[in-house]
Amino acid sequence: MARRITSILPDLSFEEALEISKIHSVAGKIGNDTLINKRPFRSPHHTISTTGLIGGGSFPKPGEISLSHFGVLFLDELPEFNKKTIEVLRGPLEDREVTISRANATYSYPCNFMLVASMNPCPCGFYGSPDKECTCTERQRSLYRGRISGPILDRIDIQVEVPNVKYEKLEGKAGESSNIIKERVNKAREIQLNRYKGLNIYSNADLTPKMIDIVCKLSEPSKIILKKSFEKLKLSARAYSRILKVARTIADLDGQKDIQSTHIIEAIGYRSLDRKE
Amino acid sequence: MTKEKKCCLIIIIYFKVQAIRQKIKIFKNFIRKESDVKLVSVVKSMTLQGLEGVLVNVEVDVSGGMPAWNVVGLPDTAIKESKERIRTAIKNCNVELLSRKYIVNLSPADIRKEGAGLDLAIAVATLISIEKIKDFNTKDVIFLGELSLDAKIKKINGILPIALEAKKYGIKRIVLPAENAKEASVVDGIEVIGVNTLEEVIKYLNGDIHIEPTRVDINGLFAKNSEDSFDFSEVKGQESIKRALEIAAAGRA
Amino acid sequence: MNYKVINFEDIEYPESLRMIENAPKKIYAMGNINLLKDENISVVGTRRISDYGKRYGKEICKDLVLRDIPIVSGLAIGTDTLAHETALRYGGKTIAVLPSGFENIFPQKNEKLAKEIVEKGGLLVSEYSPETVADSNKFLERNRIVAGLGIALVVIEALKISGTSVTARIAKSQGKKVFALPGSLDSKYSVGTNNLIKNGANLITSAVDIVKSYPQFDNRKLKTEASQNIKEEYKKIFFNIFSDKYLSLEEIIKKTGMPTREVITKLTLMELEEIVEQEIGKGYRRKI
Repeated sequence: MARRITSILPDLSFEEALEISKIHSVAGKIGNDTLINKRPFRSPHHTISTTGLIGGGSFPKPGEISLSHFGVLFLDELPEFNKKTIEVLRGPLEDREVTISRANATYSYPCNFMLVASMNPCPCGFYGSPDKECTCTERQRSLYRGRISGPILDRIDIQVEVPNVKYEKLEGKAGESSNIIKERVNKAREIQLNRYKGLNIYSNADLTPKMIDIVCKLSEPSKIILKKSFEKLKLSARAYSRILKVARTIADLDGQKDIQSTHIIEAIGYRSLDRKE
Repeated sequence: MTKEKKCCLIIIIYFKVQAIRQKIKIFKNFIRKESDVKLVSVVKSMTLQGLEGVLVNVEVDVSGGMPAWNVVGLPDTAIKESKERIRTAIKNCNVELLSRKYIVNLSPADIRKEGAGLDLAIAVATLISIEKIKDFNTKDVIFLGELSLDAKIKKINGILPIALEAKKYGIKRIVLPAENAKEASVVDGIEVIGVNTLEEVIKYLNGDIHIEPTRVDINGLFAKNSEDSFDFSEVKGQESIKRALEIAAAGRA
Repeated sequence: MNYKVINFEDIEYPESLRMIENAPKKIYAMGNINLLKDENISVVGTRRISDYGKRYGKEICKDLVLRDIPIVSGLAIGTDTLAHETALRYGGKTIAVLPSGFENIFPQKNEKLAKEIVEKGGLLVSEYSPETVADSNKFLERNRIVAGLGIALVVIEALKISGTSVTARIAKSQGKKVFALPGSLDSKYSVGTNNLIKNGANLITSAVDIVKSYPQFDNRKLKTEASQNIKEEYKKIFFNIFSDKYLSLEEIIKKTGMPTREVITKLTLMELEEIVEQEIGKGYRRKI
């Protein structure tokens, strides 16, 4: 499922393709293609080392995060990854660049990637499943979820529950094709590009706290709803700017100039993991 | 032994020593004369620091003295070991490498150089210094590639960023492994010469053969196969995640 | 800190507690002390409650408080927390007996819960002066009060050897009826309860089994749940999750046939208005 996300991302420009190819070239992963013209999708196994993920070695080579530059890094079963390995993602996720220092030089590789991760509700994977009893204890469950630290969770904008395998197989109406979705995505991106012209910002994800205040103005009712949800749902404070950014994006998809309360509410709906228990 | 005999022996020994001294003098002069002719040869190559290219000057000096092969200028292990590869490769393209003192300097000296990509440049610089390659202006050219013992030139990593960076430095031509040629030719305005063996390089540089620069249709490459093999229309149901992914795609780079 | 000291001789001292051996000389109480005069039911169980225990423990507690029966428990994590929370959620009353003084609430994690209990008309009870810190001896001492404050003891789950089984024994020696929820032979969390049943505890499958044993409870009508005042716009979703079972977001989308974004928006709103609740891994279900 996550594999398909590259099919709805905007097409690459030649410069972007060149930059991706550069990194893959250094890593020796360019193969027979001379130019990588698709957004990369990388899904490293959870046994990956920190070096493998962010890059390194005595002559630092780009890691998976750089190989997914302008593409998607998919971490399946996020809690199974080494906790330290995930923690080092924090810097690169903010900076979009990873810098490795060695005695004689510093090496930097760009890593502007979209992080997509999946996790089970519990170690055995059956929590809440109608078919099979979950054998995990409360403690195991909270330990399992605790493996993903707050700061990492904080950097995940959208959290949504996915049906388990059983429902995946269920019949449903055939979905929209990627091209239709992509068109909507492109439209929303265009709005953003126009809005952020000359600001050295390209998308809502790049918004700085200062910019958020300017671009994500809320109406009074929206403010009340947001405040109420923080109290009622016990959202953590750091979720605040994430909600605003996501709401801004939803409004852009809608083609709306201002963020409306429904946009805010939907954005709040995407923070299910954030709630304090 | 009589006194006369002793005297004779001393005289003979004296003359013998004198003769040996003379011979050493002549030999020394001979060597000096030969080494005076040799120039320090300089060939350019490039190494990467991250995605940044650093132009490397490979200087080789051949002089008399104890036969040796030294690499200076912060080489890594792969480069230090290149000594054996390069000497064998040169030998295997039927070029005799005289027993002299070879000094290879990689400048700038304060930057660590990595990998076997400099092999070809070192080999070319050596061949120039022993005058197996003549009259070749190496100013705007960089050499890249790893050598194998049988003088084949093997592909290296990072060719694309090197080619891009080389263009920034005003380099006009890249001599590199044929396997890498296509990758480098994506860069516009730089001549890409793909080579397979060291022998080919010698012939090419001496003007004995002509190698056509590699060219690719960049637009064609870029346009080809943009179709994604995965499509959302194959996914039934799962509306919630579809919506989430759409928002994610719309809000992020 | 607003607490009251109740001595053994005082009229407020609960009768059910007075009758037990080694009854505390005085107790500290914070909150609604009228509950001490009520006929309560104690609910205990393991701290590491299983999914099964959670499901039926909740069910039983809910059915008790909907009959206006206050629930006594020990504020520990696991079953105790479940019992208190369920009571509060369904608008019932609950008494928490602490193994520590009021200033050092144990476990610390439940400090908030303790506060909520007092705020919502429940009661905190302790036999220790406020500054007392909890230690392992005090758990067993606490348990005799948990058993003592109720007219019956309900055991949800218990390990083979555990404090819960000891509490059950204490309750029996106090002359209280002990009810136990049976469990699978495979489950280590039900070994204790199954043993209790073997040794004469009453087997229960629902709260009705408890209520039937007490005529004073039997005629109490189940309070109807407040599901009438649902806004019109939520009804389409609400009636799809009109059960205690969790429904995943995907199922709700499928059943209502509404666009995803609308379902998410409505569910979030309903969550804000505390009509539904969400749990990670399970989905949504109604809260009232």
